[in-house]
Amino acid sequence: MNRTTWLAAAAIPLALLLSLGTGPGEIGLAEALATIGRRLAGDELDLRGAIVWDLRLPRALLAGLVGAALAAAGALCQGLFRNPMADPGVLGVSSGAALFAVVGLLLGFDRAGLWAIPVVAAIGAAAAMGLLLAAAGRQASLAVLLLAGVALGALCSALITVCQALASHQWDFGLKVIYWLMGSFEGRSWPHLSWAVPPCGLGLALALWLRRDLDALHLGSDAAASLGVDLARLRLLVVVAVGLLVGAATALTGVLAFVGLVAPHVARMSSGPGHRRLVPLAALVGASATILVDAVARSASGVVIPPGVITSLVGAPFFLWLLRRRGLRGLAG
Amino acid sequence: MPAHDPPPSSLAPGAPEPGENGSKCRARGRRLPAVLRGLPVLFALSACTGAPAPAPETGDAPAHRIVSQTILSDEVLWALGPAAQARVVGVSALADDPRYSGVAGVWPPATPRRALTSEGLLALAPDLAVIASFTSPEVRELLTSHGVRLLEFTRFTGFADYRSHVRQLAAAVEDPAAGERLIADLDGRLARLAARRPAIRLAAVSWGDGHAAAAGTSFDDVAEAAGLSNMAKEKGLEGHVPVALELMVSWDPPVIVTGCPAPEPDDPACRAAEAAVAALPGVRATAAARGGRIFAVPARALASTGEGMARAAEILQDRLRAEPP
Repeated sequence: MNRTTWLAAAAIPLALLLSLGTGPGEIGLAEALATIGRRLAGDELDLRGAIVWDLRLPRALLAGLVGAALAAAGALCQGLFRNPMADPGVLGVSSGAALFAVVGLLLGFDRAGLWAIPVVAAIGAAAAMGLLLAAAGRQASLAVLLLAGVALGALCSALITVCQALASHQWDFGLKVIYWLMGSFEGRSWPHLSWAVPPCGLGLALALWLRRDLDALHLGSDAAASLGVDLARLRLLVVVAVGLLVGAATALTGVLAFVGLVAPHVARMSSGPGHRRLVPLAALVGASATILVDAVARSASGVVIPPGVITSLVGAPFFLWLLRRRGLRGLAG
Repeated sequence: MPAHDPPPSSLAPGAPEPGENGSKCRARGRRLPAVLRGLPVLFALSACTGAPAPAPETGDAPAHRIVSQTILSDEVLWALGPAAQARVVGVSALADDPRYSGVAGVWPPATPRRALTSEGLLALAPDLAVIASFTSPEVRELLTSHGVRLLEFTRFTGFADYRSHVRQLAAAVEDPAAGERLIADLDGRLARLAARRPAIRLAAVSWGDGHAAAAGTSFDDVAEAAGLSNMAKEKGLEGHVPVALELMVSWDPPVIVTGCPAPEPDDPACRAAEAAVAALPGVRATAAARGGRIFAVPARALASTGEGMARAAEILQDRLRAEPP
């Protein structure tokens, strides 16, 4: 790991500390750390302890994991399509998760338990990924894969709108859908984190494994093939990795915009275009940025600002600034 | 409903014909695009449909064909009795939804259920439409332009507003005595609730989907009637406000009230709703969870702005009184 990667890695614990000391419960960092120490020593926790242990710590860790997943997925998509504008949403996986989550909310599955909507959304992500692979075909070109993903995303978005229109008189449903689509870590705790770890861990491992092939692809399809890269297999594995990362992240927290688009560009400013350094650095940047965004969202006492809104509010102007400064060619590295 | 004649100006003999402008353009050797050539026709058509709006009636004038577009008016018009019911030509699309409505399945099937669409409402030829605050300005404009009087309920802050709404609707159906009977019934129930208030006044937070009901909400009156205090109001909040789970937990409420999608409080769906709140991170450490005081109230009572408010207060008081001393 080079200096930049070390710095990015060090930013994560700093962001975690800031997050642990922030929140409407008015519990400072020292008390939060003492609480975690007591809990790890096996002590029973009071109300303030429960706020730190059951609410702040797991949601901060989940924010980090989700941010890393989305950023790594963004780096994979931009590498696969060799397009700096590609974000994890272009494959339609997050839209599939969102559609199933909305249908689940419409049918009242959320009343079955905390697990219900994440499970339904994960099924949606898997279904979208399966549909994409079936529609594009194993030997499809990147352009066909990209267009199939865009079309799938548009279809899912249209069906979400149909659900909202059909149930427009159910204001509680509308509220749930709006909050879910805005993305949030509100109420996420240890179970959510434990559900996120296996798919995100597998997806991140796949992303790290595919770095060398993506570097070869950066030279062009013909060059990559001449270097022994099986392009069809690479496409399939990238889609599976993105599906795991984005599907799990979206299923558990809703739609968090711009993390997957902007974090790889921030990382690329330091690492350059090579995926060997880009993918881990993007994941670290995404993790610390998302933890910080969630801390900012929770610091506004009295109102609930969904982190997904903040990622868009910060990410979109930042991306425009980056685009103006470096140009599209510069973004591509 | 009387048909509206097109305004004379659109058919006036002196009005320029659509072809005149086109001829001038052709004389200059240019052809207008089809869209532009069609504009005069579109203007003429819009003039035909855009009849001048007659001034809407005001006050509590009697109404003979009422279309109700709020659950509250669906409930009150039914409760006012057969004479009022006979004047209703349509009720809201939510009238039969047991999750929200206290008159689900009560209105005869022959009474149309109408969503807030202009054509659907106008087809009923109402002379009074009881509309909601979220009725679009386009629908309002269309209704008033066709002479339909609008009655809009905008304040739903508790029993005082309910009494006011009942009196307005009773006046509209020319049966104020029926309205006063409803109000007397409500006041009797509130008096019984007041007589049975628990000795210790606990603080309660009404919380669901990340929102709490604070000052100026119907829950504020419900809590007061049941013998509880509204914690969100005591924290200085107003209206239905987003309250983060961490903030709600940090208040350590002795009572948490939430809604459940069931018609009666003993329904298993209400127990499931209580368990769902108790399972949220951090909630198990609150006084409410430790004391077994997470109470689910049927949503149609808890979210009611009508008679259901008294029902919600009765349910809450029964739960409080059922506690072991």
